[in-house]
Amino acid sequence: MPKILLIDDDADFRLLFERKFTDLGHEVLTAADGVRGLQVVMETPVDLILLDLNMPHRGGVETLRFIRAVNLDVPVIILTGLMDEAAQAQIKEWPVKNIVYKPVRIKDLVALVEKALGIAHA
Amino acid sequence: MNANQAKADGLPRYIPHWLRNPWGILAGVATLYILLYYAWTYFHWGGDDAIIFIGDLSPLPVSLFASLAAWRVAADPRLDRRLRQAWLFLGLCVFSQFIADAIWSYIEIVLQVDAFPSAADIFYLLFYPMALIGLVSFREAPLSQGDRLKFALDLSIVMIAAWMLIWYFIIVPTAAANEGDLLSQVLAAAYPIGDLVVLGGIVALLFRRPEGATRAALLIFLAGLLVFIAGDLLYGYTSLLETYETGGWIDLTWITAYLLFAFAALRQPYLSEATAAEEGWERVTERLTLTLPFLAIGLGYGLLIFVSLQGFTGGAQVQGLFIGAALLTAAVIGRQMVTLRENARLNAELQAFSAELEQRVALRTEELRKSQDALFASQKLASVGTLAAGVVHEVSNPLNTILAAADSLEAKLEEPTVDPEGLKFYIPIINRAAWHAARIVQALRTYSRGSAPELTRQNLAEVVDDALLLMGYQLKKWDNVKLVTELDLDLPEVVCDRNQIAQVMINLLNNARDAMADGGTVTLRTRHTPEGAVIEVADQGMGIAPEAVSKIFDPFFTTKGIGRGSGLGLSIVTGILRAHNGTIQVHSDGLGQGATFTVTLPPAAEE
Repeated sequence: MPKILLIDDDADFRLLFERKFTDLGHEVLTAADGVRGLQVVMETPVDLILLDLNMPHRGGVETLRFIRAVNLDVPVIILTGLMDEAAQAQIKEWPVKNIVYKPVRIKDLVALVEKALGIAHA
Repeated sequence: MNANQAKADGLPRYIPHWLRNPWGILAGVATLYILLYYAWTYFHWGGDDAIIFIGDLSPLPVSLFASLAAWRVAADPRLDRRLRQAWLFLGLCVFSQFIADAIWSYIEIVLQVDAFPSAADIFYLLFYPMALIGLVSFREAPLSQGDRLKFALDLSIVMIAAWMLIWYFIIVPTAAANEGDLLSQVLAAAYPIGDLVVLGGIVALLFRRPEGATRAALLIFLAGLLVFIAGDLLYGYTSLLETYETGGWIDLTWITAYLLFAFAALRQPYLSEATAAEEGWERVTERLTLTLPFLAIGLGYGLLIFVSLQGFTGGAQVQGLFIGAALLTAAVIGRQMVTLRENARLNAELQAFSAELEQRVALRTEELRKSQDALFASQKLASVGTLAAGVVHEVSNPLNTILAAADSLEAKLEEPTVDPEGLKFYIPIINRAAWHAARIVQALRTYSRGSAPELTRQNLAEVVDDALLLMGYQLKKWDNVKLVTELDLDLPEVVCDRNQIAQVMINLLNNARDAMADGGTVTLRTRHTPEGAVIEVADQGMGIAPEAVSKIFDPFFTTKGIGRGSGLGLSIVTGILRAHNGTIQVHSDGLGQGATFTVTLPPAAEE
């Protein structure tokens, strides 16, 4: 069963995401900020990370840098409301699967996640 | 020989550079000669028989030396034409004395008759016109028209007073003493009048200040002339009292004057800057010159009082004094009027100048205010830009949540078995997210109003909440800085512009963050005091040096690096608070001790 990690500071979205993807049969882990997200990454190998950029206690770009230092290959989907030029430039250095701008339809997100996990949807 | 070569010649240091040459040695010899003459005047070596002989002949070598020295200057091709002309005539005036003394000696010693009046007088009298021509030949500083009038009046005052003195003490009594002999009368009067004329020349030169390069030489020459005139007048007076004696102390004056003329002539070719001692003398002379008219007025009227105490005897002698006094008074009044007019003009100029200055200050202030307004506006736009970015992010989050919830709901409803309890899960999520988005939009609406402050009654607690909401995006970027809030929920209502007070808070919070490069805690406190509502932002940052505390609210004052701070944040804050009748204070225990900014807004009046 693939493990998905969502790092996002929006608590309600974490709840919705967890319920949706659990319903779809995935194992979902969540973290409210970069520090906690990295803890999860270091303790549990995950198959996909969805990462918000704008968060307190270590933003998404920093977190991505740490993730790449710990686990080079894990696919990452950036999930953000806004990305400034500095963030765009930094993201380029650490390849990511997708950049998704909020708000996003949950169906689209499901499709992206499953594509990233290599799951062919019937 | 020039001054540089002369320095090595072993002469004592007190001998000035312009005397370190063969002519200087001659001048030294002449000085010793005159000292010897002084001694003779006291001791009268050679007995009474020798007095006329020695007394008549002694001045001859000195006056000859002085005239030769003057002509040497006149022949110097390096000097200005007018300067050379001046010295030609000064040489002639001294040389005329040489001739006169020679004739006088011949008559007295060889012919053994009374030498007055005689052909010698012609040459003695030649001294005055020659000296005057010499004096007026010197170049003087050019005068403006107003100065020329002042100069003429000052000169008149001095000359009238001098005339009064000479008239009373010398001319009239001398003429009376020579009664019956017209030639003697005319000649006796001619000397003091000549003195008066030369005195006029001296005073004119002093008032008009000769050129710098000739000043030192000229001052020596003028000193000689004054000694000469003093001798003339003393001679005239003692002749009247019949106490004059050839070979007596009055004769010392003329011979000393010749020596001074010689020194002046030796000084002239050295056009270099004056020595320190010479500068000192020039300053003294200048100061004396300034007091000269006052001295003259005092002497003129003093003489009048003196005569009145004598009981006004003496006919023409006293009449002349009264005419002199009238003229003196007229000149003084004229001088006073010139001064008054000049003062009035200066005053008008000063007023015009200060008016213009004020206008320029007002204009400059207006320009500054305009450019500052523009900067305020651009600063505000810049912060609106950052805020907009923040708002995009903040709104996208709840929208994202709402969409996800709605999608999930939809999906749940399409499932074959719908569990109503399961559906309830989504409702509060949607509610919270939508409310969150609504609050952001509301805050932004307030913020995006026009730049004119809109003062309305507001609950300050809400305004503070708005500001924190608007800053949400920025606050999340405060990696190593923690914001702690201690908010009093019971704040009074204040009359304010929500948007501007939010800006005040944003500026203060951003400043606090910027002050803490190494991290720390920013504390935002609100509280209720008798003075009104207080918002306090305290940081643990770099603090403020005591000398910077007074400048910190000035526009463009910044300690942040170039390109980092506009230096406007706090001055914008001050401007906003002024418009709100509020105050801002800063407290810092010094560098490294953190800083606390305290904003106080007066409570709104009771409704």
